[in-house]
Amino acid sequence: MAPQDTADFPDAERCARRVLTLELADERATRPERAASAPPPVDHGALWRRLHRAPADPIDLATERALATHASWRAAYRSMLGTVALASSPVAAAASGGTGVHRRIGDYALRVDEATDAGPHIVSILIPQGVPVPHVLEILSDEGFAIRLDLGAPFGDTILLVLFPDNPTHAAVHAALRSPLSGLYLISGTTRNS
Amino acid sequence: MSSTTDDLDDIALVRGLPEAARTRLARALTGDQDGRHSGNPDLPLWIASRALLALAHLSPAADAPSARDLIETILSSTLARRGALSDRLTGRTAEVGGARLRAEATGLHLDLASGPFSLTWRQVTDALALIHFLMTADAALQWPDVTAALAPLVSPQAEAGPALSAATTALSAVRRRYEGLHFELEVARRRASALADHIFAARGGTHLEAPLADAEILAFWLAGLDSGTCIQFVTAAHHAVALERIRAEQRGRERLRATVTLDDPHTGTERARLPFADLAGSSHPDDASSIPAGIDRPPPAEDEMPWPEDLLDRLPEEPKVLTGREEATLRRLFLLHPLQHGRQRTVLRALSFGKVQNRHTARAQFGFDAPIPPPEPYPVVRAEHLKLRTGLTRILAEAYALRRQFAEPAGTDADADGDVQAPVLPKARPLRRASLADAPAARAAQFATFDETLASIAGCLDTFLPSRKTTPPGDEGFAEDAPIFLAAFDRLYRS
Repeated sequence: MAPQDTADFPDAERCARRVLTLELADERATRPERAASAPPPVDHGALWRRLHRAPADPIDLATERALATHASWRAAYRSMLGTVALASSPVAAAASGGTGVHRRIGDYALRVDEATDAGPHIVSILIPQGVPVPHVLEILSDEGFAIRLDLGAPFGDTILLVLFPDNPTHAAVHAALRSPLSGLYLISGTTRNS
Repeated sequence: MSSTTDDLDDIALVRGLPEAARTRLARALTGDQDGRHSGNPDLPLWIASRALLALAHLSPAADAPSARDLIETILSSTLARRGALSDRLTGRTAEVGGARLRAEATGLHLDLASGPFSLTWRQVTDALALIHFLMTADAALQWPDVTAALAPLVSPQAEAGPALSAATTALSAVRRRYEGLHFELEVARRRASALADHIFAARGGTHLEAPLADAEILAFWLAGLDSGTCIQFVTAAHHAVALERIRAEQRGRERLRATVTLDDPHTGTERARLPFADLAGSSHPDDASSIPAGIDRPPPAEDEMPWPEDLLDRLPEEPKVLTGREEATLRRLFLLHPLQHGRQRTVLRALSFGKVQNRHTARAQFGFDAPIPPPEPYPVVRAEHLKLRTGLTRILAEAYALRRQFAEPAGTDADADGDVQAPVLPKARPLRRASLADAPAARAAQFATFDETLASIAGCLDTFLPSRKTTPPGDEGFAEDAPIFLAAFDRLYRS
């Protein structure tokens, strides 16, 4: 029907907005109660605090558990990390060949030299000239855990990390770094104490 | 992309929002500002940027405002609780870019270059919930945009005025994008004009200004079933409500205009021909509705005559004088205003058969496996409202008795006619609600904060109850309607 036929119908825009609100209420009225098994709503405040946790701060176990269990928490955390990070690499761009792992994280280059015999794995992050020095590496594994590594001061233009295969935490970090599906995020001095 | 209702539920759970606050959040999102005042859907963002500027600079955590602390304040579920912000900030002052900021027990006060501006704590927590929603909806899709929008508010050197403008503009872009992704405003508009079209066709193009009749609303709904746009009967009734309210507003505006331009009939007719002027962009210079919804337009003054459902929002959250069930029943009823005037049957249909259709929809959409109750006969629905009214009378009687006892000084006129009201106090059984004070004096003070609102609510409820002038549809009306609705439901939900 042509618009002039509805000429007696004023201010369609405002009417439409009221209709939308009423429809949101109607939609809510038809919904069953939230199931007990439904994942808990994402507490962004807790994630935000985790994102800014100083090395010495206590760990909130409930947040860690929710992050490990629920994909919705991880998705939200990933978005938040992406805005805070100096550089990020949500997934590996290409499968790495040979024995080592190479990942580009923005301007930075991360490289894992595999252990030979009983020696440790060496992780190096190359910092090009003129870009800020990251302080934290956050690894978001596709298996559902998030690891936060405090990086030391760089050695010249390189940050070096040493991972011992017989240390279970180091082994987990190593496995996560090897997986092309883990997201890597480099964060600058976001901690209050730094 | 997650649905708006899901995201709203999550935010309400995390922040512990009561139902009324959730509704206010939904209205802020859809840009549904109080109908008669402002066509500016960005008004809540306008308020939010002021609240955030004050919070950023009054925060005790840091000497210099930081985006990180501000975001922590927005997301904090502990600060979302009533009174938490007030406890934390009351008494603090700050000065920034030509603006003086002050936190008091009642709320935030901003002395801006453009004039003073005050916010209640409820407005502040509402604003925080809105920004929290915009940041985190759709798995934090808009997080970067919102954090970028907050940047001017935490910059210590910035002039307050331009910073507020910049923040509001950026937040408004975010809200518009959310609207584009989630609310098909076009769909809502099409449905609204479908109702207008229906009336136009049904009335043969004449008497378009006459109020909608019960039969027309029912016919509109049934026609929707035929054309495959299956909607709830309650929603169809709500369409009618929206139409009626906007028309009432339009009439009021025209009456105002008529008094102004009495000596210029030509302009009057020209305006009458341009009902969509403000939508099409070709606005008449004098037309009040064609003022662009400017972002920096100050909020309108507090309205004198709120819509009935807004009355419920004006009741304080604490002490809670109505139970959740009472409030829900009243809200369901008040959302149908003004259909109770001459369209009692639609009201009863929506309440009685609407509940049944809700269950059908829940079962069809969510596999919700509860038995479907039979529709409540109209007299049963009415009896519930009468009971509610009796309850309100009791509360008001107690409030009145307490007020006479404590608020009025002894020896005044109150004593003279005291005999008339004397029996009220012993008769009124004290109301039992957890958050009401036990001591009569404290209780009187609590009642004093809301008894006017409560009286308006009771008055509004009265308009929904049968009066001597109207003969409401009773059992025989129900017997006529039941086959129509049950056949329609059978057609819709038979699987």
